[in-house]
This record gives sequence, structure tokens and C-alpha cells, in this order.
Amino acid sequence: MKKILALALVAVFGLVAFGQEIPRIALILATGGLGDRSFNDQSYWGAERAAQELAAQYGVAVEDVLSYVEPRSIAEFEAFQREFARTGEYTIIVCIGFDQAPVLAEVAPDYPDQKFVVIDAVADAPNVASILFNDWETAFLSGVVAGMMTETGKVGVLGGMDIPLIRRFVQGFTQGAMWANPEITEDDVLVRYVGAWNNPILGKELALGMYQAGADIIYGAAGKSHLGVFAAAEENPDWWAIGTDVDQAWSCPEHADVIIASGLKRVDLAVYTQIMKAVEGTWTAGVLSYGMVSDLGIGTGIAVGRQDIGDYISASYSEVEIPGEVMWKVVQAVFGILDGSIVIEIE
Amino acid sequence: MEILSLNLFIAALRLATPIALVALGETYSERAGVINVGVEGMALAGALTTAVVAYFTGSPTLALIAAIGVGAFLGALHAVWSVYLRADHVVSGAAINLLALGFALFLTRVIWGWRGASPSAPTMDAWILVGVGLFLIGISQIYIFRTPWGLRLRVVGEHPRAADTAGINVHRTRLAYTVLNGALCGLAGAFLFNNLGRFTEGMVGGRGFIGIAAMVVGNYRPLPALLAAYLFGFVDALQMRLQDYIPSQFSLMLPYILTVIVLAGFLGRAKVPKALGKPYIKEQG
Repeated sequence: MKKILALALVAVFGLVAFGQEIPRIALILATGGLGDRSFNDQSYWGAERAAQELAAQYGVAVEDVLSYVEPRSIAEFEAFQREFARTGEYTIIVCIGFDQAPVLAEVAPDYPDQKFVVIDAVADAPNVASILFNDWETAFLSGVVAGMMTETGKVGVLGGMDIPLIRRFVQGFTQGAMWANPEITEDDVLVRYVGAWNNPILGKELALGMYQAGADIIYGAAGKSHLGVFAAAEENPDWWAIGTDVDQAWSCPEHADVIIASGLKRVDLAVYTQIMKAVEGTWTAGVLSYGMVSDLGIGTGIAVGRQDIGDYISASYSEVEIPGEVMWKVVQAVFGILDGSIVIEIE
Repeated sequence: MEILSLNLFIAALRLATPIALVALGETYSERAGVINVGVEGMALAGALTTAVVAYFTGSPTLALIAAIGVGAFLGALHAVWSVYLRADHVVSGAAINLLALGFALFLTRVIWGWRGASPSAPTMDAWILVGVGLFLIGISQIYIFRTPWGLRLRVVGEHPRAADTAGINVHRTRLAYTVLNGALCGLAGAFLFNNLGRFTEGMVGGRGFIGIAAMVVGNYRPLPALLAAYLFGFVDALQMRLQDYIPSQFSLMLPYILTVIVLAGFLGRAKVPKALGKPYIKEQG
């Protein structure tokens, strides 16, 4: 009997000691959910990469390190944030998406020892790292490609929702198109919103509407909803699309024939870096911004053409041939943004 | 005005098709006395099945048949719960919605490693399914009101005791039309998949519920329900184009405002089958 008890005690203490050693990561995704081959998937890849490295280091399974949830509505964010925080087991809780910030600002102070990260918005609390991206830079570069490549002189943007974050995409894209092509005016950039991040059927209809109204290139900034843009572009050989956040010609290879470029936003890099810093003990709270003209040099850019050029232009898996003059214009835009001769005006 | 173009009416027809198919299915099952709020899940299951079968066999036709089969199966499940085991119809339907969604997330993860979405898979021309849908709706209008089978269907929903006395098997009739409802929802899901070329878990996006609304507005008749569905599709297509003129927040509200207004106007006047949602218990002895 004693022996069994002793064994049980050893087992319990062993487990506790073991449990403290393994770093654990919680990831709360945005409402668009995984499978968008863009923002959410990319966030997951960043966390997964960190989890794989940590799992290998500690000799455990990836699932023991990484827990993730896909809330279906904004109302669920608070419950998940609190649920993870309450256990006190997680080294860091990563919250994806701007609409987690307001509730996180209220939740975080209740768990002062818990480290939080929020992407795309600022949650003002002493234990939260808020990560921002200069979205307008990547949108501007996408606009340059659209402005150069359009044959009808009209382009379009499909936004997820009419919110400041997406409006900055729209403003960057519009200014990029106008900068690259002086014949394009603000009226030549059609802007329509889905009103949801996970409704590609509506996204397709909206895209068809813009194509039929004369736009031949549509930039998608609507999460899973803009998968509908690619489906719509397939219906006519003169219609093209530009992806967002990751090289979508790579993440959606079946649409590599219509996706001419993708604006890049390295959410994966930010998530990975935050997790590793938290595990290594070098993590700090505060506001961090990624972008070409910001404290963290990389993070935004564009995937276009066949080869990497510098830090901000990456090769794309797109099957569409991009003329040299278009690439040259993109390079000029990158230099313009870096040296400050191009100033993108955002609200 | 530039927005009132042929494309607008075509887009409206595309948006209306899944709504109309669900409305037709719901018309059948509610006429028989079975409320089915599981239409959303049945359509989702139909879309998922189409994606899986088309992806692995490469045959959109086979995928279509499978989607209708899976929809019918879920319909049968709902009928067993609500008709034979006398569970609350709404609870059973809600359970099917949750089941389908959970299963979709699980299956996409297992098969493709992406939760909630599929890669592209072979499709058929979605317009074929629009044609099929319109044909079925026309036939159904005649079937329900001009044939003896339609009369039996209506009696089962209005007065099951009388139907039973006349020798109609109430439970079997309800089972059959609930299965048909499921099959039509599966067809609606297949249309959604073929329209987009990939599955995503949000692709039904409330169209099932709007289908039920269209049925109510159509007063449990297939053709008026089609008109109601077309109205919903039209307003949705119109709001997209209106975004160039008015702020998207207002424009995006239009379909929902319309649903509320129209439902408020019609709900009171709709002639609800009398035995709707009530289990039928055969008198003993």
C-alpha cells in the first residue's frame, strides 16, 4: 500500500514539475477562422512554427505546447481570453484581430501576471503587447501593381468591413494605383464591403459586380470572404485579382493563374517572435509596429514577379507574367516609401 | 441608372437559388407538419459532401448525387427524432445545425489539414442547378395543389387524425417529406459549392434561415416562396451595387431590414398548417 502511495505521489509531483517546464501557448483566432489561406492561417503558422521548435526542445508533442480556438463571434472573445488566462498555465496568450482589443483591454488587468499579445490593434494594459502593421504600405504596393497592370483603367477593392483598419488598406491601395498610373482617379477605384470575413459566396457576387462595372483587377482585403474574388476572376480571362497577407498564389495554387500579386503582412513572423520572446524571458509589453518605415524594419511588402528583390519584394508563385516595367515601378515605390519621397496619407 | 442592369437580375437569381431550394424543401416538410430549422446544417452538409466527393472522384455529377443523399439522410435523422421519437422539432433541427458545423470543421481538418475550408475541386455549371431548382419549384406547385398526393400531404399537416382515419400513414408521410426537405437542402448546398468551387464553413451564411423566411412569406406555397426568395436575392444584389452611392453600413442592412419588414407583414397572415410541430399519437384500441 505504502509503495503504491509513494509511487502515486512521485507520479503526481513528477507531472507537476514536468508541467511547469513545458511552455504553453494559447492562440485565439479572429472570427474569420482557419482556412482563409491568409490572415488567420498565417497567424496559426507563426504559432505552429514556434510550437514545433519548443516541442522538439522539450521532447513533447506540438499539441502539448499549442492550444488554439476559433471563436465564431466577437461575443466569444472575452470568454476564451478569460478561460485561458484563468488557468495560469499559458506562457503567453496570442489574440488575433483588431476586434479582440477592446475586450482584451478590460480582461488583461484582471490577470496582471499573464502575458498577452494582440494583433492589429492596441489594447492599453501593462501586460499586453500590441502589434501593428503599416498595412497601407503593402496596400500601396498592391495598388502600384494594379495601376500598372490594368487595361480598363478601373480597379476594385473588396473589403471585409468598413472599419478604420480596412479603410487604411483602401486608402493605401487607391493612392498606389493613382501614383503608378496618372490616368486613374479616385472614382476609378471601386470599393465594396462584404460585411463579413467568412462569406465567400457574397464575396464572389460583390467581385462579379465590380468586374462587370469595368474593374479588371480586384484587391481582396476580406479574409475568407475574398476567396470569392479569385473564384469570380476565373470566370473571365481578362479579370485578375490581388491577394492579401500571404502570397495567395502559393496558398491557393488553383488560382495562381488569376492572382497577379499579393500584399504581404508577416503576421506569422510577429506571432512567432512574440512567443519566442515570452519563452526566453525577453518579452516586453507595449506597442510595436511592423512595416517598412517603422521600428521593426520588416513585416510588410509584396509578393510579385519571379524573384526576391531586396527585403520588401518577394518572388510569387503567380503564373501571370509581370512585365519588367511593372517590377521597376514597384521597386521605385519601395524606395520612395523608404526614403520618404512617397508619403501615404491615411486617416 | 447604371445599377439597374441585366447583371443585377442575373446576380439576384444566383443569390436567390439556394434560398428558394430551402424554401421549397421547408414548404414540403411543414405542409406535412414537421418544422425543420436544421436546413442550415443540411445545406452545409450538402456543400461539404459535394466538395469531398468532387475532390476525390473528380466527378461533379457523383458529388451532386452524394450531396442530395447526405441531405436526405439528415432529413431522415430529423424525422426519426421529431416524428417517431417525438422530440421537439426545433431542438432536433438545432442539433443538426450544430452537428453539421462541427462535423464540417472536423472533416476538413482531417482530409485537407485546413480547418473549415477545402481546396478547389471540380465543379459543374451552377446554372444547371438553377434550372433544376426552377423546374422543381414549378412541378411542386402543381404537385401540392393539383394532385391527390399533394392533398394527402396537406391533410397530414392540417388534420393528421382525419388523414389516419382515411388510411394515410401519417408518420411515414412526414418521414418522406422531411427526407425530401433534406434532399433539397443538400441540393442547395451543392449549388453553393458549385458556385464557388470550394467549401468554406461560412458558405451557407444564414441562407437556410432566410429560406424558412421565404417560405413563410410565400405562405407555404412553392411559387410565391420562389418570388420571396428572389426578392431577398434581389435586395442583396442591389445593396452591393448601392455601396457606390451610400455607406456600406446602411446598404448591408437592407436585406435584413427587408426580412424583418416583410416577415412582420406576412407572419400574421400566413396560413400555418394546424398540426405543425405537434407529434401525432395514434389512438390506442
